[in-house]
Amino acid sequence: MADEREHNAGAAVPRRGWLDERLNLAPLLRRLLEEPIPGGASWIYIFGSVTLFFFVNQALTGMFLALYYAPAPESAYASVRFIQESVALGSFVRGLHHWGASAMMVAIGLHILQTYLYGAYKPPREPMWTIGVVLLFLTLAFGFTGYLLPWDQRAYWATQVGVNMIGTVPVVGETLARVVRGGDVMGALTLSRFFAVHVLFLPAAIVLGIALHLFILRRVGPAGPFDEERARARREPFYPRQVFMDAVAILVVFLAVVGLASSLPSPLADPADPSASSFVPKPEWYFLFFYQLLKYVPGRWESLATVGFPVVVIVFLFALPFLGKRGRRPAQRPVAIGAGLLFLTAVFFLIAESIRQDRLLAAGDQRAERGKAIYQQLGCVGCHRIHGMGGAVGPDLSYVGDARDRDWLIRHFRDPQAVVPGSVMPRINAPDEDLDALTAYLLTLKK
Amino acid sequence: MSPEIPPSHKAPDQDPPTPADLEVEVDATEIVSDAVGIRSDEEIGRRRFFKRLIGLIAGVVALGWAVPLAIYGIRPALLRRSPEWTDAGPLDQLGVNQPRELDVVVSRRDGWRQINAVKSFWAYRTSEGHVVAYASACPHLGCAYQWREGQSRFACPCHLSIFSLDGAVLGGPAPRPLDTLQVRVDGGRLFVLPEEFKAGISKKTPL
Repeated sequence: MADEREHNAGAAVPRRGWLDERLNLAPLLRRLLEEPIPGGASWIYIFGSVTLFFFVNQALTGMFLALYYAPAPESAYASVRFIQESVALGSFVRGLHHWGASAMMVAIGLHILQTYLYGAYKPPREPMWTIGVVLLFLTLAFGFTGYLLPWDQRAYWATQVGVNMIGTVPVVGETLARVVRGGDVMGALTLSRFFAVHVLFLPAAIVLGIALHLFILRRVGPAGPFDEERARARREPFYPRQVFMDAVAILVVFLAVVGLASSLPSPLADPADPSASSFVPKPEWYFLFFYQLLKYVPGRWESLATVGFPVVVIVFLFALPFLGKRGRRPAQRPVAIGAGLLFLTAVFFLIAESIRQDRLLAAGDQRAERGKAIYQQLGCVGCHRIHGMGGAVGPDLSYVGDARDRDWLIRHFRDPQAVVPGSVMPRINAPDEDLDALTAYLLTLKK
Repeated sequence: MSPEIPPSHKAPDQDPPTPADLEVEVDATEIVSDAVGIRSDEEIGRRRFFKRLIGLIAGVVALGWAVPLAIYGIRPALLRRSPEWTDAGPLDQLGVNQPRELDVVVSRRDGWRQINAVKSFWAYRTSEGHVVAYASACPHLGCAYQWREGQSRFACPCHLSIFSLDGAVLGGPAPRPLDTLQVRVDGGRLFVLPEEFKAGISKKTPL
């Protein structure tokens, strides 16, 4: 403390670190840390740093995962299971990578949202935004290629669908899909190229992109508030307050991901089985809105959704900084803000809808499963036949789901003779929920 | 620069460093925030506070990565696999004081793979009825030695170490007797613990 006072008083006592004396770090550090932020530090600016943090997390955990991973169809699944179950802290490290990937998507989403809301992509920051869009698609490519690597059912079938989507591109689709797959069907060559792209090509590209993004940031400087008055009123260097805010945010998200990795196991389904076509693939949540969107598109317009929609998004993102000559305030950009809100609403609606349908499906499955047990329990099988199993006294129920609806079935269970006069079927005295489950089961019996 | 760039967005380089700026000599991490270079005690305290907190957070995150990743990377390499009792066939295949090389199939885990490997060892029955078994590697440098029927000796072809029936070194560079293996007899069958030992040292040490 004493020497600092002296220093303060003007009697400068040089107090330099050992390395600083040799490498003359002070000017460099100053240059790195003194970046002025118009309008001062703010919690709203943390997302870029948080994204960068997650990139480092993915790189680090990815390197360590590669220690025990073997990218071939015979070994990929077994090696991931080995990591998950046999390696000390293997499920934790894999969890850091898995949850880190999702968290990185969230961080990027918020980073883009902030940039968009603040109009920070406007001149002179068009190059920074453009590189940022490239970084976004590189990250999505990381997600797509990484998803296949465990070579489990989820991975195999979701990638199958993803590659088939590429195949719907007019004219070049088939060729493109073959290039992505490494052939005409998915297999060893698909896995090896996804692995190579995930751990060699993409990291090289993204490191370059990040470096450019940061380089441009330092040349142009951060945008600061969209309010010119506020931007001019105050300037504050990046260090210490902004660095501090970034650090606190990073600590919070790191602890969150550590918590997720240590409490929730990363998903690993059964080994990939190309013949088990009944598996219903679902993409990772950040592709979910797109997946859901495809459900609403009639078959002949399929390629409009699989190709047209992404093309529109890509073109819009790249063109954005060159559109609109007015200021950065949201009030001056009704179209941009409106379009952004519409897009976000649509995305969240689609995600919510996808989750809701999934839940319904799962709940329906459970009820039908219970209904099947009740069917056995009540001895229905004594009189009714389903696919050749059971008695022939009552009608064959193999395709009853096509012939009767829910209402009819429930009424009939309660009082068969009221619905079918002269029926010999006994009343079923079971609680409503049992009848409900029984009905759910019978309704699954369709051609 | 294009005309639509607002004035506040000029590149930061446009403030040239003042001479005062360049003269101030400080610890590289204690950087003067404003161009004038005068800091109050309060300001210094504040910066020190932030610096420490940032350092603390960086340390927590770095340890949070380093410790689990180091354990994950190193632990499996240090695990010793313990050999399992392995069936080596009927006991009556062994003659009294007539060593014979027996093969056993040893199943072991190789990472995510399960590997079956054939391992051999030498065994004989003593006149008292005990079974003696030796690991098949010469304790000198790990070559496979052979039983010389005519000389009633084990001899290693690589560096000419010679051992007696009870494993003692009779000649050559071998630093220790042949490595005995644990055996047990159960229902007329011989079971062996197919261990391996470090070569080249005088003390019998499991691998």
